Amino acid sequence: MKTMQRVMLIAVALMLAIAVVPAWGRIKPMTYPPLNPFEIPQPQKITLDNGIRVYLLEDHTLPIVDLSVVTNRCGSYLEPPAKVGLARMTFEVMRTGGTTTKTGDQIDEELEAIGASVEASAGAVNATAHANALSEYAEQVLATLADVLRHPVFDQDKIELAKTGLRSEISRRNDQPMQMVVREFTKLLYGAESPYARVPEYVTVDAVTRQDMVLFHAAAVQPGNMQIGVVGDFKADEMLALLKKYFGDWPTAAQELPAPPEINYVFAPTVNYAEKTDVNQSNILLGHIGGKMGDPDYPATIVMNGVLGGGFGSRLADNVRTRLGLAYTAMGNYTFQYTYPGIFFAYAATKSESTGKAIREMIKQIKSMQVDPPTATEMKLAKDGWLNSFVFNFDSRAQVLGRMMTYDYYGFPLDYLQQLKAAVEKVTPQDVVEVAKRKLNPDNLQLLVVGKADDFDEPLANFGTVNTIDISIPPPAQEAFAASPEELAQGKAILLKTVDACGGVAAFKKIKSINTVGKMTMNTPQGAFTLDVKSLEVPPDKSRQEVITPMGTQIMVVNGAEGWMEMGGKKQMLPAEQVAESKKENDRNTTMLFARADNPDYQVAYKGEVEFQGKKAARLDFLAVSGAQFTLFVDPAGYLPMGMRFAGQTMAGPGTAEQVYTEYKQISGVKLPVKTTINAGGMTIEMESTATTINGQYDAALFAKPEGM
Amino acid sequence: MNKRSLALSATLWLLLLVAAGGVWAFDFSAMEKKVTPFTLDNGMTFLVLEDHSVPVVSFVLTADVGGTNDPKERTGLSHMFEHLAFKGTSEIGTKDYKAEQKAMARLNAFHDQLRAEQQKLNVDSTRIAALNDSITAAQAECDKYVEMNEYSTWVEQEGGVGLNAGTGYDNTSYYYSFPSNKLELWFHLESSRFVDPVFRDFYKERDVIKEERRMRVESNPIGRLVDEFIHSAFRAHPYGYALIGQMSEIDNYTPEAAMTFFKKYYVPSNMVAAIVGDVDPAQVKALAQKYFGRLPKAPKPEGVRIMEPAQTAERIVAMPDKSQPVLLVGYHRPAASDPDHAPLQALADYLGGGRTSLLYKNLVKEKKIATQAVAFPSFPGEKFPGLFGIFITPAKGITADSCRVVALAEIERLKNEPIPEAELVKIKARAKANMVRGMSSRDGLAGALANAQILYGDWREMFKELDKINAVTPADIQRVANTYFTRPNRTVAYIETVEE
Repeated sequence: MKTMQRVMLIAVALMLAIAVVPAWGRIKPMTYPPLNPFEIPQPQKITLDNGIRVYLLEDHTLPIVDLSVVTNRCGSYLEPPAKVGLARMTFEVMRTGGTTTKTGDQIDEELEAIGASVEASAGAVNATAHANALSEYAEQVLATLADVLRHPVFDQDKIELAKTGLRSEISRRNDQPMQMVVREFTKLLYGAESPYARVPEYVTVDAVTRQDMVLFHAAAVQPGNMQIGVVGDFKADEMLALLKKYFGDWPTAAQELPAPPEINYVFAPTVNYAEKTDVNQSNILLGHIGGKMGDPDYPATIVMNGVLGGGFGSRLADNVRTRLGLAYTAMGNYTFQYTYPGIFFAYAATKSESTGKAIREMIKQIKSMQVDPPTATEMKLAKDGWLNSFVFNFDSRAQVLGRMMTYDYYGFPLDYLQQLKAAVEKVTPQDVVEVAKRKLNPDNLQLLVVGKADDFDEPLANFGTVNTIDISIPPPAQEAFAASPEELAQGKAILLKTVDACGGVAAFKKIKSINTVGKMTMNTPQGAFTLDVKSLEVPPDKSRQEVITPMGTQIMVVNGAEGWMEMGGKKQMLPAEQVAESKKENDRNTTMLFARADNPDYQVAYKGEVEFQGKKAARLDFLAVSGAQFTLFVDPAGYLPMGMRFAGQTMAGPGTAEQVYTEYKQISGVKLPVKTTINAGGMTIEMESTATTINGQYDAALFAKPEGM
Repeated sequence: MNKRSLALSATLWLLLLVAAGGVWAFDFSAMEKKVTPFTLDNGMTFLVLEDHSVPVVSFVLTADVGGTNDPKERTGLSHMFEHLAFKGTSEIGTKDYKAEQKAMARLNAFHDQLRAEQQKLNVDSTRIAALNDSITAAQAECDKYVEMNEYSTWVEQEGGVGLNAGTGYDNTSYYYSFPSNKLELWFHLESSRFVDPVFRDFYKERDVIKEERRMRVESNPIGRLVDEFIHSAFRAHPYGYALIGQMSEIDNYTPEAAMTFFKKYYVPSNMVAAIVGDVDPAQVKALAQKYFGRLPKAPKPEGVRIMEPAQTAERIVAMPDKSQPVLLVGYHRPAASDPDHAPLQALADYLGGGRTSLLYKNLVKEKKIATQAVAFPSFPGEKFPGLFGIFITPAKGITADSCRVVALAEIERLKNEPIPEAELVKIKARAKANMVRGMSSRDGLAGALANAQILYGDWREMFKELDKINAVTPADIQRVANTYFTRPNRTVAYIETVEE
């Protein structure tokens, strides 16, 4: 155990007692008393035997304790490109999925009963677990925090929950223009495949398994890379004893983790556009790569940032917002990061019709930084502002503790901030121009606009060759149909038993037509309502549906290669996709499927016994020649089909649809489902046949293409 | 199944734990005693809370005026004034005030002529073009005298942090923090903008606000939906107006209208300042008298009289949009001053306040048809009767309507089954912990004090909130659920995702 040097019991009075007499001509000068002295709080550092670095800072103002566990060398940079999302989901499910002694739901109940929180999340290069509670519950939340970090069980149900969350996030990622512009700009700067820019896709989320999470946790959550900071209402020696109790016996893993990758940035000007048609404002980002902490230019860049785009009074805000009234937000910043470079950016959101004007003004202000030294007023704002607000670096103890943990991990002196202050004090206007020349590269700016180009005041091509970014969201990959010869043999055998249970192949082969009259009940925002339906199916490829609605009868016919719709006397050909979808529907039609069961033109594989609608079911996966894939669930006792699941169009876009057969009837020697529940896109539709006729008379003209189409 | 019994036993265990450890260690009255309140002769109230741990001080000035006070045909004017309050005074923000005044008068005259011309039956486009040219020239003349953003620059260069302001339906707040040796500077700057405001850059600021509207409402699907939601839920009360103003009404703002608005509402009896940090209350009192004593005494302006009539039919707003589905449900409820406020707060927590809330458990954890389910006790304000709101984000592939059906069924169930006592214990524990957390920042405390004083006319109400929640019984919750969660009292708004 080594205690950190007790450094810097400096009275801030020494640093900040500058009684300023401002030089404003028109305003009465005001003198300020010296700032009251105060002690910079000094956290205590202890290293546990397993390498965990502990930082403790007492604060008895309020009865609260706040714990954070930072795991370094742990984050999304470690996940394979095919499994983006793994790190985030692992940390989420560590918290939600329970531990070897408690379920996640139990942990939720326990924490919420005392108004406490424990959360865990992974970033690009490190991960954080955080707990906050009234101090009387300090040990309880500390124990939970340790349990979550050390003994997660990755419950499958909570993995599904995390995947649902992440998939939903993917589906929403093009809804908010500001979110879009930041995401795509990050990709431009670090590279679309870079671990610092890439985002999860449906395919990468689907690819993550429980085993991946177990392995990720075992490899990346290592005590040797951990820092634990505690601030609040506790006694340091008691807290240390608790930390040893819950974390001290965690053995250090031997596995060495790779360092986060470097960035090889090549400066080049680019012009990029992502279309969003439902906005009337363009989101604009301009910039290039930024810097790494430790750069000697950091102090001068702080002042440069203040002059260029820090706040009101900065060049971007003054000109783009105040003088031209072009934007509500106009800002810019050259950032530094510890592990990999930060970014340089200028941002504004302006009405579509002033996009070009705003871009020009932003570039002009960036360029001005290399030419026009800051005026006395600008220096006051940027430099004095930073120095005068220095005390706010110490106004919260949590902030002091967090900063110390960062400095300590990245090898910065603990009085780095004080050193920085001394350096900023020395920055001159000429230094700002010089640093702008070194750090900014106005000839090699990457420009990205998210907006509606049709309404722009000038084409983006005026700024260079436009690269249009495809922001469409790649759909989930359909699970490839794969089956062993054994599964195929079993599949066929079970299918034949199923067909036998329903009346046998011969009976199905005799079916030339099925006429059904029935009802369809739907839940809509206006309530549940029922419609009369009629359908006529003629194997192998003809179908006709009539839905009787209050507005008239809607008829949809598919006649082999073509299809059409009739409604209120109006006729319309069906688009090719809909005809194709209807062919897939024919493949999924069990009557047509069973008629071909003895010599199938499709593959069927038995995938074992699963749960369907809370009951045991034999799972049969199908791949038809049309490419249609679906799963049939069969009752393993009586071999009647229980239901079907497939990917297709739902009311809410592409998704999974499920049919559940709830009642069968014997009709002309075959058993047919007469009641079916369809679940798709969160909507439930009940179908009920009231009368079914097999091989009845029908008019062949019903399938003749109407005149004039 | 198995999990449920585990969860149940965990709850019982916690009940015991809370009962055993139920001696709350923190004494809120000690904090309450540290507050020094005083009122100037002109009626302005100050609340001072000493905290000498760090030499910094946070300020919040709240005026009892907001979007609900916007004049007819000028919705959003209270927000516009908040922007104008950063434009300076006759001393701050100008190079030559006398010359600037003349230039501004010319500019305003041309704008008035333009407005008049635009109203004519037969608009004379030649005259409009000529006026626009005159406006451009007059604006350029004004610009010559402007010291851009001098007011905020002054705050920031002296070490001010967090400088900003916010306009709500109920009130408007102006806030930032200074190193504590700059206390007098705050008094000087903050009082000056309400003693002697100058509306320079007026017409450009209208454009800035239009960009803010595009950002928050028109180019933001949730902004668009909330806009439709409140317009449908309120027929008469200004909670249904656009807080940021309608585009055409933003164009209708004039310096004259803004000045009338300012003079009516920014009077000392309508303003409260809360100051938290390293200050001496006696000195604060003296400075308050010196600087804010300059504001002339005036009666508190008359409040909003319009009352929202009882809703008699469910209102459903379906918004076809390219973005993903979102669901909002609102039920009319009384103002925060009503005794039902505390039960409604508890109900919001029970229904949608965390991972164990009814809606989260049912829609997110179990059915996995949503990724987020939150309930708000008061929306979009709490000073007047508003809405109890529910916000649900459906999971991928699930419609807002499917979530609506499940959420409403859950609400119906809750009306018939009393809330388990153990759940109420949890709600009270969370209220307590959140109250303590809310006190951990100076600016947060200052905001809460000022808000309580404005809302209830007494800052002490802030400390009574917890007692009120602690007094809530399961029967109270069931009663308010049955009173307010009725179909004719409901407004539902949702995004229905459509293809391009």
